[in-house]
Amino acid sequence: MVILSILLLAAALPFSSVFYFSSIVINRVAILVLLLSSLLAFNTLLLEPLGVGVGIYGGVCLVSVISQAFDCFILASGSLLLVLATGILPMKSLYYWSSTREEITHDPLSKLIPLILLLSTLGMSCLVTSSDLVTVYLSIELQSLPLYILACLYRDSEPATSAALKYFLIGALSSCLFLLGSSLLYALSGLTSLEGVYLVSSLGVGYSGFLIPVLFIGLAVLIKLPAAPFHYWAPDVYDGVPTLVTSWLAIMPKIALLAFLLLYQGLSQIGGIVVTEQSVWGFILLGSALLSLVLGALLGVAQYRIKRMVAYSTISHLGFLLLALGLVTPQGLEAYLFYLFQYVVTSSNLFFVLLVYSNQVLETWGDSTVFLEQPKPEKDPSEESYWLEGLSVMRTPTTKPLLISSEYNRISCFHSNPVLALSFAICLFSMAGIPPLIGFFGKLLVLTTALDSGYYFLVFIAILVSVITTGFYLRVIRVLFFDSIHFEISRSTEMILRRAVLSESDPKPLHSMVIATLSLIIILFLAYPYPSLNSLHLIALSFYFW
Amino acid sequence: MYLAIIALPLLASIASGVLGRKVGSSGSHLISCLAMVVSTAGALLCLYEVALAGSPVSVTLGSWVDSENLQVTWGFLFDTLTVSMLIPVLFVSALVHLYSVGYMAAEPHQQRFFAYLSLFTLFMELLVSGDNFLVMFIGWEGVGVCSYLLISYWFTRVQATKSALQAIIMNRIGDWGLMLALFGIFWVTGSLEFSTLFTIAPLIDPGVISLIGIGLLVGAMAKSAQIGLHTWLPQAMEGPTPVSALLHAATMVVAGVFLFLRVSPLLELSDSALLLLIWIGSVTALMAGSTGLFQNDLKRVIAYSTCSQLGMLMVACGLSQYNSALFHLVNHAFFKALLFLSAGAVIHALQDEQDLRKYGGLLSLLPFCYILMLIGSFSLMALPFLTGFYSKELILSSTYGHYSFSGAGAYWLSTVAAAFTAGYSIRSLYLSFLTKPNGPKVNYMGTHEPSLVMALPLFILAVFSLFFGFIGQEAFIGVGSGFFTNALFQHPNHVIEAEFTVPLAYKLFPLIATILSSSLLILFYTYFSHYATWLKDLWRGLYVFFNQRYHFDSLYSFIGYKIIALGYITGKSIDKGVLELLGPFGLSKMVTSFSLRIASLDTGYIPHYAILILLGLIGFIYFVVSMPDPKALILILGFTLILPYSPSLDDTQNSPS
Repeated sequence: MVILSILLLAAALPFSSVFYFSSIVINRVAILVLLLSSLLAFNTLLLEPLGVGVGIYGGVCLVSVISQAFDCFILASGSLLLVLATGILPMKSLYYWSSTREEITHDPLSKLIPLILLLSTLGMSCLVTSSDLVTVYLSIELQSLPLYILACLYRDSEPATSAALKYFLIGALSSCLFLLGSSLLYALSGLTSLEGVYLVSSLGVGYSGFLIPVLFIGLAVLIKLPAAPFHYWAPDVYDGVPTLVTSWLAIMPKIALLAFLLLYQGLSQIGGIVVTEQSVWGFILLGSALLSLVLGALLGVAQYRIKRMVAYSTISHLGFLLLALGLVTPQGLEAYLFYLFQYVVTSSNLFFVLLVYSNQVLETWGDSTVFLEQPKPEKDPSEESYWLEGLSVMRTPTTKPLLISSEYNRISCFHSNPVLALSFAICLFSMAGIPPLIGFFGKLLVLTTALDSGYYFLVFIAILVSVITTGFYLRVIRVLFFDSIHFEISRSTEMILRRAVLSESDPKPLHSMVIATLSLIIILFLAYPYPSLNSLHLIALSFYFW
Repeated sequence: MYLAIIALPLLASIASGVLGRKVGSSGSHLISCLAMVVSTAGALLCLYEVALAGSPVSVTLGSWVDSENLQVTWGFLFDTLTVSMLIPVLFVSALVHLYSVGYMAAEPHQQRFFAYLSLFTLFMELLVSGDNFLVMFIGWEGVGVCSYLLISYWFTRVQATKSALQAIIMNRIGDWGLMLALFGIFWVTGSLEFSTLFTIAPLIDPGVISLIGIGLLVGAMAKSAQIGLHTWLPQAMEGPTPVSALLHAATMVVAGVFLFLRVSPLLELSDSALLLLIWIGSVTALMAGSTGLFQNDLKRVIAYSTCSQLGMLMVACGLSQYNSALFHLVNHAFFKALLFLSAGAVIHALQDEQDLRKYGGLLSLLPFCYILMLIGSFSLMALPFLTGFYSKELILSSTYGHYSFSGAGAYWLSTVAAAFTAGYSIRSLYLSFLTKPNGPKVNYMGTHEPSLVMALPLFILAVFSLFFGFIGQEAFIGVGSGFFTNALFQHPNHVIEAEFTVPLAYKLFPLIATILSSSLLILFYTYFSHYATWLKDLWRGLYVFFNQRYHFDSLYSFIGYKIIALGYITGKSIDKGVLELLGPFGLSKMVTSFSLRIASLDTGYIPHYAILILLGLIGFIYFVVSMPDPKALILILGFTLILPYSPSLDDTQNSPS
């Protein structure tokens, strides 16, 4: 269905100028497509027949309970994140100040977005079901290539293009490694099927030969994730690309790749490769988890741009996820799934809120800066900060990351929109793991299972690191709630600023609905946790014991 | 009825405190006075039922603390001790309420005043009627709080707030001691019920009992203003005079003595605690008496006399003469309230002048007040057949009848204190009423006798000060009286027979000393008063020593200053210094700087990233391959730690992406 709709949309695009489709319509269609596909996946989530897994397309794909569940989850979160793209103003308006709303809605670029995202989603859903090295590689590339395009969607902006280039090059590096691993594997065994690898390795011969290629494949995925020693590109990329793209980059490929990691771990029995009574793969995962936890938290402290900070917090969360994955126990898997679930919910909410804020900033400065001060033509408008009678205002179109300390300073965000600020705070608190919120239960599950498995040192580090991350989340909250305007400007300018901020501070209805729903899920998870926990429990059990 | 006695003051307090705006000042007068009068009538009925008809009552309202090993109930016990305390408490309280209607007539915020007064009465009732230590402790703390509120009633006066602070701080020291004693009791018996404790008491190690007793003693010393913790009581005279009469003379300050009466079954088993009581009490009596003689503030003189009498009460407790202690307590409540209230009337008449040196010649202007003060003073001096005589003489002869070194010491100290008592009583009477007028004329212009509403309580108290001792003596201290069935306990070894064994000379000596010292003082003031200045200069140091209250206040200010200075130093160098540096500030600084250092790896330069990623990759692979040999781990870890510090990378951190 996804393929079909992609084809349809692709066919429809050229006609859009003729039939006058607006980008919003296309977007809504895409959302519906994803929702329906997700429902389909949910419908085929049959425990009994799918228990062992069904090979399709001649064995290159394997459909099992867990892959179906992930499929369903990926499609659903894809549709959720597509909502972000609906009300958003395309970036064009920033560069050409005179652009009208009419032009914006028919910007050909913004019509492309849903299509690109659909393609990427297709890649992801293929990835979780594929069980052959070739299909795996193809689907990884399928989900990455549209993202490379997406990242440099706004080709006029220097940071965006440089970030996109970084993303592409590092992606290529990881693909190289992946291919290196697969070709070594093929050279050694003549097999491309993961099941074959499993069979050969279970024969008990040629262990050391298999070890390196299998590790290469796994590490290539870790680079893409990005887990800690390979994380350097992530903050730059997340920071550089538009917030909309960041949200997609930070959430969707992660789900797919983490799902693949889990399946790969199961299929290739990599966790079973033992050197001196210690699972090598588990060891690497735990080492990576440790580094992710520590580096993510420590580096997050030094950041003053909110999207970089979010990037590092993402790395820290990845640490938790890898920790749960590295335990290689059913409880660990359950904790892993739950953590992933809560991470997706919380960070989608976070990105929604961020996008709303950046929209506000955009509209405030996009529309009303016209009479405040015109951007100087010789400078890149997305990059410079303007001095306006002693007021330093970072110009922030959406291509520009949000700065914590300049635009959240305006009229303490809490006063301009209390509910939005509260949802933001709830999100951050949940990420920090404050008890009644969903994030707490995620961390709790991971840490208790790790404790049960005896990894005291890791748990200790994870708790310390949680404290540090709480520190930088709290910094954002402080800015949100308590910092007010510092700048001294003439009264008339201030009046204009105030009016601009107050008039444009309302988010789009659809956005606010999503934010409200997600915030409520975060808060009220405590009230009725059974469906999600029970289903995760079932999935974990089916993965291990069927 | 028993609960009504307790509930009425509470209701009165709520009515005038919370609903003060609705009921108005006269409404609050009416409500609180009525409530007090009805409560007093109830207390009289209680006296009949409990004490005279001999049927103690116990009321349990319900459970309060119901945890694993601590059960505390809202229980009230009305035995003879409680009822004997209720009589002076409610009686004086009702009269003081009535008196205040006249005394405070010109004040704003009268509802607040009456709310505090009624609340105080409630807490006092809780204190005397609780059947376990916790309920008693609520009353104990509550009267302390009310005392604070009432002393600082004129909160705009700095001196009043300072005195209130001093009172509450001194009382906190006592509360600390009392709490330690309560913890000890709970530790030993696992219960805070009086009945449990008294049943088990004989089986408890005497050393532990002594420790508990000392804790109780510290509590009582603060509440009852014994030496060392007494300085708040004279300061408390900054409050309105009715407050001084009710709290700081008749009821609240005797709470410490009441505590000993209540725990008499425990106290009797500890000889050392009793000995301590005797000495502390007698030294306090002497100290307060000698200080009182040199004070120039009328209310302070009476405050020191209160302090001195409280010392006598402690001595009586220490001698195990609980019944005479209780008797003197009740008598003291009446005549001291009379003294304070009539002094209040005098102060009121003289435009709130309290300095004795500016009094004089009031005999012809305020004859009614003179008579009342005379009755109060004579009763205080224990002149024969007045109320004070029956209890005070008994305590003095009991000290001799103890036939021990401590008893003899207490006898002589108390006798000298009694002489001092006579001295300052006569002195203040003489200076106020008998000498020639010394005050400014304007003070005398508006002198007037108290109004009826103030005179009535004075008259009633005067009657009690004259006759209560005679009426009550058989019940309280009569030989073989069945008045205190089980409420007070006296160890059989501690029975003192003072009536027949003590020689007559020793019995009469305090009286003779009293009369002698008063006559001497009268003679001095009548004929040799012009030598007063000369004498003062002769013994200047001595005079200053007594007038400055043994320099207790200066000492405490000195200590307090030193402690606060020390606190400044520790606060600056430990809290804000070392701990801050090792804790929040230093740690966050360290994390941030470390973080910045690592962040210098983020150069934004893609080849750097690729190299770092490949290094990580190689590290992992190398690590896995050489896993049997852990030396590799150390190598790699060392490498990763060195990497962020390399200066070449620092240089590139600002390079453009």
